[in-house]
Amino acid sequence: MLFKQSSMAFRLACIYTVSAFSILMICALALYWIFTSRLEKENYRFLVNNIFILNKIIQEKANKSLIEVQEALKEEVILEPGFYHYYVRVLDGHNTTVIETPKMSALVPHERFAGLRPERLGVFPTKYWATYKNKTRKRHFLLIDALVSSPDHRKEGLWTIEIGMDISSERDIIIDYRQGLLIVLLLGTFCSALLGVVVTRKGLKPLRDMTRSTQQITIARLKERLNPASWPQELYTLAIAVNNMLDRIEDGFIRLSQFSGDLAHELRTPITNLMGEAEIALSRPRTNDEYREVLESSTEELGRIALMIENLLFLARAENPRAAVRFSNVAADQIIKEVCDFYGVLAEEKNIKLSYYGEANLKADVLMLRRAVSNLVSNALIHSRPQTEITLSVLPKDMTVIITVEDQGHGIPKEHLPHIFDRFYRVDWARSQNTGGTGLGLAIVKFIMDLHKGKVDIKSEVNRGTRVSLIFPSNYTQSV
Amino acid sequence: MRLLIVEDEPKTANYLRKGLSENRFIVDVAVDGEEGILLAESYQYDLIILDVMLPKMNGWSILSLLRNKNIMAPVLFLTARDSIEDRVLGLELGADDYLVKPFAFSELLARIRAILRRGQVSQTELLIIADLQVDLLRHKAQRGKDRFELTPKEFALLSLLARRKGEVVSRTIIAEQVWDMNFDSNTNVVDVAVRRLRSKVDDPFDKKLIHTIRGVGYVMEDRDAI
Repeated sequence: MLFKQSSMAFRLACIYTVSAFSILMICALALYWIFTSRLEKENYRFLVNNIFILNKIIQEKANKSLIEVQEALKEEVILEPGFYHYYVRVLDGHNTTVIETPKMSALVPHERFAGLRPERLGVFPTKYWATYKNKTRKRHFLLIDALVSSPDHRKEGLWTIEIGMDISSERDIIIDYRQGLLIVLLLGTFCSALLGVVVTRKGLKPLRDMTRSTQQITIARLKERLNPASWPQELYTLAIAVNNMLDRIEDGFIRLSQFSGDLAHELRTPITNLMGEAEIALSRPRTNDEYREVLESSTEELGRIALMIENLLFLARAENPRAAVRFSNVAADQIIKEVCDFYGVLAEEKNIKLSYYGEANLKADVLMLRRAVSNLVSNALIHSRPQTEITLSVLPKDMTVIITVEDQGHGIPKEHLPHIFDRFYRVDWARSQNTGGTGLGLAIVKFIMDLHKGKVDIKSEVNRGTRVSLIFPSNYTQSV
Repeated sequence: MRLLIVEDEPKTANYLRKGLSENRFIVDVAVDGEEGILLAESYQYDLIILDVMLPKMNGWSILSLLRNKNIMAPVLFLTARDSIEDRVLGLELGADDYLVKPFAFSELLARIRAILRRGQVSQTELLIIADLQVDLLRHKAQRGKDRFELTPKEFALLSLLARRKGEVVSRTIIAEQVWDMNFDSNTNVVDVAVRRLRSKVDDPFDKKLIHTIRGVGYVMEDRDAI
């Protein structure tokens, strides 16, 4: 846990150090093993060789007197002191010493060999070796023994050759070597840790730079971006991702500030009207009818504000991810029929032919669906000329259900199309104000479609008409 | 009919009292929950109008307290907060209706009347206003001896206005009741529909029955009779 939360540099340095330590450790162990096994092999060869030589001398003196045998062995056994660090003892069948290197009984007593299992001369497995530490003399010995035939085969049993090799200096060397390795290991680890810290700090520098650059982007400087080209490969993608996120935030932010500006503006006009009318009405005595006129006008204006607030709250609710959308199976043709019924009188009044066709079922929130279609038809009616047609249709197509509202009205100039679903966006400000719209109708349509995971498609040609399609995705549709 | 309003905002309380009194209700106003409960315990109210956001005690707590004290008068909530959770909470606690600010006074009046009407099944099959007769059973309407040729929607509109005789019916309620459109459309569909109805029901006659209350809605009444 702690490791996961600690700094990346620390973690990298740790990983680096641990791996450096492991590698050094493996190397040191390998070197140590090679060195000691090599020494051991040498010692073994030396000892075995000596046993062979001694055996050969004994066998050559077969059937000779003990004195002769001792004489023959003397050269190999009675060594010049300090020349070879090994000691030899030859015992006869009764374990009586035939000959031994001087001082041997003090340094390597016969009893020390008791633990070994002497075999007849042959292979000497290493396990028949033993080490012995003579504590009083502070010397280490390597012990080996072998049973050999006695010179006199019949009369006596097997003879024993015992060799004790002084390996004290060798051990000192090994200890020195071991210490050297340990120092190298520790120093190496320390150095690699230090190096690790330096390398990771250097390696992570771009990240710090990036942090600094990112910190400089504030709401006031939302236009600034990271320059992806100046970062290494790994951070390049991150920089691009951050930039994309900034694009989205900036977009949302601009929309939001535009929205609050628009909202203030939208409210400013009706509130100015209300204030002005009331002020003027109160500035001098009026007739009852005049007062009534003002109050009626105010009520209308306030009704418009209330409608706007209702619509805005609807949008705010739709933006809430927990917005309650009550899905049910809906006959879409029934919905468009109802909407046409509702607008029928108005269409007739304006001499516009309002018709519908097609049928399909889909999964939707009835109230919202009706609202979306209603908004589209109301727009179409506002922007249509007399003697034209408005056609609604609902058709299943490629696993989707498409509800279309098509008019032959004024149409929408191309440059306005991308913004048409923004709140308060109006194609023709002057004309729209008179129609009493809130500028939220299409925004609401868009939101309703978002909630249904659907899309709105709008095609328009100036003076030819507009066609808006609500496309419901497959999992929201049902076969009839 | 006696109503209790629990509302801390003086302007709101004032106009509600005025408006409701003029519509022949006896109105008491309490400025906070404690006073409201005290009043509710002292008098038998036909309806209690509760603001949700009140000092000291909110509307919901007042409602649960009232119900605990076994005061079962119907309750209508007024609130500036409009979320589904709020709605559900209010209705779960046993509120009878829920109205979000800003609301039209005619809307409030219609809702109050709807709550008070509950349980009283209207037995009338024939509505008579001056010389207008609306036969709800046979879907026929006539003035004097002239029978009207009405479309089903026109008849629905006429019977709605006739049933609410003397009440101002807002455009929202008309759209909702006649066409099942539960939201405010920014078009004048309702006005056009009413104009068409008038052309059949009112225009040929001297005595007009459908009156426009500008900015509010429509009312059907025999003005000579008042």
